[in-house]
Amino acid sequence: MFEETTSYIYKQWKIMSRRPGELAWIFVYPFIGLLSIGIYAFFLITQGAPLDSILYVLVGVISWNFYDVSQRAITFGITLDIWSNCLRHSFAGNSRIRHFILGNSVFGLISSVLTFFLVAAAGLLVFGFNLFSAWLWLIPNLLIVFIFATGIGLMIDSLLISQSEKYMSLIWTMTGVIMIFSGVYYPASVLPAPMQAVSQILPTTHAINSMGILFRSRTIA
Amino acid sequence: MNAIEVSNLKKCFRSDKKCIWALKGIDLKIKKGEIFGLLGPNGAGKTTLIYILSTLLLPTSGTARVLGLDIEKGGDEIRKRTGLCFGGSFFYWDMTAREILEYYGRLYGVKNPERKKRIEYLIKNLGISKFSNKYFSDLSTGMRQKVAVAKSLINEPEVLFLDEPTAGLDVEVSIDVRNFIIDMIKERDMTVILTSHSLYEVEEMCRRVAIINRGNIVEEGDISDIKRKLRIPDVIHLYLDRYENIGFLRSIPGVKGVAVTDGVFISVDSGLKRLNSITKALKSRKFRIKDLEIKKASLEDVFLSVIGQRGPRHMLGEIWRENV
Repeated sequence: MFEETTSYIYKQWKIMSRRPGELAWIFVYPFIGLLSIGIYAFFLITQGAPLDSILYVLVGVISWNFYDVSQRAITFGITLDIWSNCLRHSFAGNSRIRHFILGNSVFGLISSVLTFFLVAAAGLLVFGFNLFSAWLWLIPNLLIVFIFATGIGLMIDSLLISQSEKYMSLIWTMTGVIMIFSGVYYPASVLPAPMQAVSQILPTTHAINSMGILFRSRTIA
Repeated sequence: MNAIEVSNLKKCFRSDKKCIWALKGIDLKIKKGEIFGLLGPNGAGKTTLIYILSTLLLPTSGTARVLGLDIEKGGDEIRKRTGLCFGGSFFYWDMTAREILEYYGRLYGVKNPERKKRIEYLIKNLGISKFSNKYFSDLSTGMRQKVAVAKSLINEPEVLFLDEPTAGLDVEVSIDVRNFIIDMIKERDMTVILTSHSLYEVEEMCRRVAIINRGNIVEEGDISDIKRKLRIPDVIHLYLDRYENIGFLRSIPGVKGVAVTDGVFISVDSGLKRLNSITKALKSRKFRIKDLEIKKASLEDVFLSVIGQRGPRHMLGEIWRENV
């Protein structure tokens, strides 16, 4: 069990550590997101937008990075094999679906938690937004985000295997679509009624909203 | 005891609601410790059969047992105890040969220190020590294929499926790979199913073969028995001091054809059996034999004969019959 599970962590780490494009998922893109959205939110405040809107946006951008990195890990467990043209070797092996899910999820959890800490630290440094002050409350919400991201990732994986590689673009498009419905940068209540119905089904809507409420009352240093 | 038992195995691939039968009812028994050759032209169904036996594909109907386990119920156990090597295999470009073996060793649940020991053994004996820390993307085709062979043996399989393991390799690397596999088989008492386009390779490694064509096994058994059964002629190749008036050779019992190009080619039912009467007949007519060679019917001749194509021997025979 241990060997089979860690094989996926080993593979992802070896490949990720050698590809700047993959490392960017942890060390570059999250910061681009944080800075661009955070600065834009500050700009809106100077234009008269309420102060707590920046808190909502910062919570959104940080938690969405968490979703993004978690989903990436579970989908890349398959896509790395497809890109390297060696999917059949993995299937011919001894590992079972539970090893695949567990190994890639653990890698996803490690990388998303690392991303979260780095981006949260950057948020504190740049915007004075201390996400660590309520870390205990964040855990269940981030766990919900992680489980949902893993589930979506597995759904995309199963489409890639059972249908065709043409579904690969879903890795990126699903993230975007779920982000819109989850109300990452705005409360889901501002969405049109039909969209709200979908939004309410998504666990990410409730987790991100709950984190937003938690920090909205806090002041910016 | 049989390592593999296949009964009325059928596989249909659906395309535009039409069923394309890749396997039309295969029956096969392969004994434990046997090296079994699977021959057939492209699209005959060889790889489909290997995919089914290695549990990568499910059959449409019929049954197959590998190491006594039903392929539909015992997939996990079968995968654990079998190895699979494809020709032209690819792995992760950004991992070294050693790391690829480490990854698959873990994937097969091989624990350390056994895993390290096996990796070192395979790297050393397959001659990839010098390249073991190079990225897969930087390896030559031959080295990549050696990594594929090593990967297929990392779990010390009881049954090894080799699907064109030396395809696209140069002669030297092919011999290296083939010799290593033969040594491993002897050492570990493995059962091997080999598909190859190199009939020489199959003839060298296997005693029994099955020839598949259009989803059916059209011939199966010992290579020598098949040759006998199909009555594929041997060829006696003679260099003489002169080549005029040798048409009389055709009247010798067992001679099926005579042709002269680079020497005389005499097609006979059995080279060893007819050699004496042919040399006697030549000597009695004052022909001097400078050199001779008996060419036994090769697996290539068997293969071409079975799948209904005309082999070089047949063509040679016709040209000569006209010329002599």
